[in-house]
Amino acid sequence: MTRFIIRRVAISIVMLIATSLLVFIVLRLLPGDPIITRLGSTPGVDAETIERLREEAGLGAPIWQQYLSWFGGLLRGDFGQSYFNQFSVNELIALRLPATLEVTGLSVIAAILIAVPAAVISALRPLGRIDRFITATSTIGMALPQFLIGIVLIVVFAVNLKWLPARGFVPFDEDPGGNLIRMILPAFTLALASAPLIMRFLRASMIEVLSSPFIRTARGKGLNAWGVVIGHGLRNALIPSLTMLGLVVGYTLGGVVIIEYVFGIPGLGSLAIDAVFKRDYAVLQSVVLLISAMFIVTTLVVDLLYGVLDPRLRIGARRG
Amino acid sequence: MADPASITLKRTNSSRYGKLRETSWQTWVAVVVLAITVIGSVAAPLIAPFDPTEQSKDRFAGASFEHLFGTDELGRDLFSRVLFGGQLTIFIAIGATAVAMAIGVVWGMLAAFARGWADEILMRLADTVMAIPQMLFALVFISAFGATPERLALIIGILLTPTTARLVRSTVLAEIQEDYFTAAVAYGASPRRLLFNEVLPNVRTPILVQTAINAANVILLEASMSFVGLGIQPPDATWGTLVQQGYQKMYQSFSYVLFPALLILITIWMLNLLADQLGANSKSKGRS
Amino acid sequence: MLNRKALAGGILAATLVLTAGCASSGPSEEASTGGSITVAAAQGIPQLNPAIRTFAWEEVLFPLLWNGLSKTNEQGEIVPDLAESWEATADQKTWTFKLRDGVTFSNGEALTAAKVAASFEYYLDGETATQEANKISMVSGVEAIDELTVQFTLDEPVATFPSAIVWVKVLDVDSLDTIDKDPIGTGPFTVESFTPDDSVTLVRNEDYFGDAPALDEIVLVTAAESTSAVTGLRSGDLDVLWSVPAGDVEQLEGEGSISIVRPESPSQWPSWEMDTTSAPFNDVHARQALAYAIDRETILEAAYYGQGAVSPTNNALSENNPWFGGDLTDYSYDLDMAKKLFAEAGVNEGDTLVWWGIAGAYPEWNTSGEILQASLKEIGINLDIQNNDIGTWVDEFYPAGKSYPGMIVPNFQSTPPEPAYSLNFYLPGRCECNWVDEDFLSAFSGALAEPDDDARKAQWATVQSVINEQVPLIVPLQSTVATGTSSELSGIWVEGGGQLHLESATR
Repeated sequence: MTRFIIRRVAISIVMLIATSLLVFIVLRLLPGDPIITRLGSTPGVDAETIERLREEAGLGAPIWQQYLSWFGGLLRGDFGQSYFNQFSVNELIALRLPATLEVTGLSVIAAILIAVPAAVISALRPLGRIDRFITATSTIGMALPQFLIGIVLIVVFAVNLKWLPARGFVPFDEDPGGNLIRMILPAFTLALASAPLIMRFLRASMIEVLSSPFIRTARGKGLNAWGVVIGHGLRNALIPSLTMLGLVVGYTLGGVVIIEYVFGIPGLGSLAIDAVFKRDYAVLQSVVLLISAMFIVTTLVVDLLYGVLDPRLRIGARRG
Repeated sequence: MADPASITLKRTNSSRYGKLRETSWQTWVAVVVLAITVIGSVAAPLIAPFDPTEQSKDRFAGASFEHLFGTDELGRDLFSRVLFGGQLTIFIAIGATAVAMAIGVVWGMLAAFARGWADEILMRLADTVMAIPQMLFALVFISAFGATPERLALIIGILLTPTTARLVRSTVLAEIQEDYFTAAVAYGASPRRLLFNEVLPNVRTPILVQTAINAANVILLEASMSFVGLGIQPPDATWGTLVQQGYQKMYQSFSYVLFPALLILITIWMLNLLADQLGANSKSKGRS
Repeated sequence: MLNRKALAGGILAATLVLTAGCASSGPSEEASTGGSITVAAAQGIPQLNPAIRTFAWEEVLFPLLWNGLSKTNEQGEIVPDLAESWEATADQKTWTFKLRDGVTFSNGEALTAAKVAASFEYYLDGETATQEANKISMVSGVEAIDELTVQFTLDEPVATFPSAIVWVKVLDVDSLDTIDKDPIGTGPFTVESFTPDDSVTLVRNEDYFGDAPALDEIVLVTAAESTSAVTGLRSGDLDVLWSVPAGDVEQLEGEGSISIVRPESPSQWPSWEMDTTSAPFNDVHARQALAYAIDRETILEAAYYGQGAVSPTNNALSENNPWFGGDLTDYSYDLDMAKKLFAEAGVNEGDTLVWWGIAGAYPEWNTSGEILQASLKEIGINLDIQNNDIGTWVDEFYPAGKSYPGMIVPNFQSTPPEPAYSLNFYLPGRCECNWVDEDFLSAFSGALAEPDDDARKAQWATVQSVINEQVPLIVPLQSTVATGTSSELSGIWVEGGGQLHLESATR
């Protein structure tokens, strides 16, 4: 067991390092740099001043040196400094992280609340009328790009019905009511995008489990239908669903970028998009790494939980 | 450890026509709708009533007999633009899917056959690429290289490669576990024979399913990227860039955003439906 | 009994309705103090230092947090701000400003001439990459004569010096390295919190030396996605939306709950740049040809939704600008002339030019490009539209001195109506068009030095004639920056270049 944990953690660390390298190199492919973008509307600045500003910002050094100094900083917990203002990347991330966590968290919860009951009901009577309806709806749901779902919800609830605000963000500690009302549409958008995936996966797992011999044994023992379903069926179907959850969190994190743009939420995603356009390397590198790390850690946790829940895995069987 | 949602297909003895007879009506619907879409787009030069770049003074007209989908901000006929937009959208979809399948299948098979360290490294590499948020990855690459249809196809294709590789690998691994494979190896079958005669026919269906899923994802990603402004350049258009333009001008003309969005929805839906049906068919065969 | 009660109730109700009706028909006579407004723009504010000014939208903070020696008022006149009065020597090379007494910074320190001098020295320092450098480059010395008197010595005569320094703000030079976290200024508001690129929350400064602002709080937010921004304005979620997308202005004007605020004399102008040092635009015929190939009316209608006025003479100054003049050719849409002139410059059928725009922003540029593309197609020339993200866009042609042959780069300038600070964009080292013309330069400095208004007008006329003939830039029209506000608000105004003034806003 310990060997298993150590191995997985070690692999995750290697992956994080590889991701950081990949991100760093890829960003340097971009034409332009933060100095030029910052001065882009300042006429009269000559090429010499720009060179000097570049040097000061450390952009003149060879790439491997820049990488090592960034990476060294990361190990110390120092993510660097924005090229556009006096804020450190740590501070910027701290300002923006709550919004992303809130939207992601709320949407995953909402997705589960939608998907689990739907999956259970479907699995009870596979191919029955309700099941087919739910499956059909989920197929359509999966066909809608996230931003389209967002647009549709905005048009219906903000533009036409005027029930909910179309955009914006207020910190929770300032105005809890205002914060939550503004979270409804974006969280729901993300939830509607990922709920179908969870639902299908869970349903498939449940159907398989419910038709397996040990369930029949449990029913034979006289346990009532609901008890069997919830108690045994759900619990066993949850194991592979954990992997799905890991993927869903990852998928949501990926979608968070565009949803933050559409709904004007000041989270890590919009921080990253801004940084791409401004070529604020320091911010962008660290944020992309952070989002990737969140995904890698989630997968790690899921894998570990998987290992804990399913004893068959711990014996070091071939990973599937 | 095979996960329950994956598809395991065993070789059966049913004839080719038997398969056709067993095809469900949903599959037919999906195939027909997709065919109409593809043919309509390819035949755009023949069908389109107007030149998609022809400007006029009749701006933001609503849907009418002359302009089935209305006109845009420069008075261009939206129906024609949607038809020609379909050409580029489908080109990108096919191109990106081809890239993803070509690289992904090879990658996945290599990993499955190689086992051990090589497998681990290849798969962790896939995980690493998957960990980077797709939108940002795409944004950076498009900003760096520019957004022509070819480059978009390449970039989106690369984005979808890791998931394809993972799927191919797990499917192939499942086959390798099977008795018939072990038997073939014991027989002394060459790697080529193993690949082409034993494994490939049996993983054909999951790979087809993945192809459909990939195509759907390409359209989704292209639309998302166009929405933040990094789609292809005017006056060319894809459904994604039409949705982006239409949404910006939503208060001036609702049909502008509505029709391309509907087309995106329908195409992705049909592709998903097709993927489902192909998967379901095999499932029902494989289970006891 | 019941009837009387009902009658009384009815009268009461009617009275309430009538009074309520009166109150909401327009801003009340007695403007109330207090309240908070939410102001949105598509751009973000990444940093707070006014000298650095990364994006145009940061200028909204200038009248709120800072003061200069002079400022522009709603009528476009230059009036005193921190300085009570000023005078110049006859040669226009020495300027003396007398400061107000009793002004304090937000950290409690008093405003002195020494602080003003230090602030100007910061702006003049070569290390400070500031927009204003060009306008004050002729200042050779700034000195604090006594506690409240500052004197400037200039290398060259500049009659318009007070309008040159309108945007040089007086900063607390000692706290510049924490300006993003804790900005110190003399203005009517101070910063309560700042999330870069997302929001700035301003609160009233109770110790402000001038007219106390009516509002308690102003919250500036970023609304990157234009449709949801307009939706927010319509629903009342946002009180002010700066630079409303041109296409939505007409509909918003129709809504009772929203007012549109426009500048008195619009002086924002699209400036399509070409490299005058490389082919084909190094040949004046090619540039003139392009000027003739611009369908200005259609561009105004379709790209700018009629929000502005065409500039048929390709002039940066609008026709109702008091300084507008000169011997100007009309470049109204004429494809035959365009074709002829292009041929003279060696641009023939089948040749390709590039439109180098920005992806995802400024839809009016995209539409303009498509219109130009259609026009050029008629005379057989291809226009390849390439829209890139802003970093890539800027890198191609900036800073001045880069060579970008065969490209047309859309851009725009937000300038005051004063020609000294709008036509100065054409100066070498400033304009990325890399245009150097002796006639222009001598006429320009002549105008700057001339204290007499009529003589100066003649000088500006010469400047405009040269620009008109040489076409270093394409200026298809002047555009009006429309700002949408809730109709409950008043006191909000916009400068010619689009800079928003909120300091006198009231509900």
